[in-house]
Amino acid sequence: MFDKNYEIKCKIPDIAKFRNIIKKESSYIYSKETQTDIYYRVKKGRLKLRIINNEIASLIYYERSDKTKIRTSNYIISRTKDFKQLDNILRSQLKLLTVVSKVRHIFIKNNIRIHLDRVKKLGDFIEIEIIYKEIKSAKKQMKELIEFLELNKNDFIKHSYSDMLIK
Amino acid sequence: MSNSVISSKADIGNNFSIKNFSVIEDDVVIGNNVEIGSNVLIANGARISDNVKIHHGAVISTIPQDLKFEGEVTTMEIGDGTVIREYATLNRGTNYSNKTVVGSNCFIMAYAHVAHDCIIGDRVIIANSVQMGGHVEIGDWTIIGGLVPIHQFTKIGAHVMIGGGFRTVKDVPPYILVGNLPLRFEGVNIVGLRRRGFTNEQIYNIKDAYDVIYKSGFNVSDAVKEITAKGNVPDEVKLILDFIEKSDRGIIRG
Repeated sequence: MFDKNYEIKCKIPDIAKFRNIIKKESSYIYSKETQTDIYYRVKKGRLKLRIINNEIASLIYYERSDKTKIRTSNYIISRTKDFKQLDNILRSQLKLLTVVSKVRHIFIKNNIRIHLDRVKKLGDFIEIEIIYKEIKSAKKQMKELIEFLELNKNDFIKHSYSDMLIK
Repeated sequence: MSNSVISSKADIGNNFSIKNFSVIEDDVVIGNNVEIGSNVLIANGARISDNVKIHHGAVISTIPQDLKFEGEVTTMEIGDGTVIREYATLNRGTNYSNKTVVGSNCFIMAYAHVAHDCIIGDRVIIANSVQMGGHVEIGDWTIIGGLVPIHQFTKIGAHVMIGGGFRTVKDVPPYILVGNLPLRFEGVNIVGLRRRGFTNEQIYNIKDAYDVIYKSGFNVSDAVKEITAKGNVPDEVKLILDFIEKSDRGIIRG
């Protein structure tokens, strides 16, 4: 039922530098999205409705430990176009937690996703997500990407955008 | 060990180590597996539990810096596994509470001062050069940033984070991040609470309570009435309300 991610998040001074580095690596497929993530209060894990370019949405439930800077998460996704009605239903049953608005530059290669995010009220971030079956190979891929992008492990962030906003 | 002066009256546990030029006075109790660095003074009244490490130049259990002190017999207690770094100074109590306490697994960094009658909980981190007045109380898991001056009699709740350098003269209720001048509420310490195993429900209860206290426009006493009027106050929120009730100096602003 659950898929698994191995992921990091890192605050960056500016998206442009990283966009240029990744674009030079031509094997990545690039896209850009405006995303609005509506988080609802749930007892366990996190539940969000992600609306993409105001056209389509995904309802995502995930569980993740925030104890280490490189994190694993389990998640389930359901896609829908009728997101306004879905949001109405969810809001009628669950309290709203917060809304995260961002512009996301997405680079995809096989099981690797790199996101460059400009998040409203929070600034610029890079996220690397590796979808995995074997954690060992995911760790090796992550190490290579961290070196390729020259990321400093001291800049890694353990918490989600939603946690940073709901303070 | 040969260049240190250790009173024969001191009660010292097993597996004890001490470097050169340290002094241990008569009325001292030290547990097992304790490491004492060089040039450390462990004065009368020190009660040091197991696995404590005290680094070079630290001064433990010297008399209070309080003009009312008249030489009464009091203690300075340090809990299991606490680390005290270079040149930190920790005074023993006065007859006000008879003791100064630093809990278990705390980390007191260099040049910090823990004054007479301070009561510090467990797993507290006190960064470099934090200076406390007497009678300060700090709850478990709290982190005090470097150079923070804390006014005497100030109470700081559990799971709080105070940003480095910010003068702390009012009471700081539990679970929150604080910074700025004058010191202000900067949000719930959500990341810290998640790390310590708080559930979503507990975190949201805490956030809701602070939304009423700091964001609703109520003054503090009306905010407390508003929270309690709803009934079924969860334990984590009760802790906030109890803290506010016991606050003598008043809590920081929102």
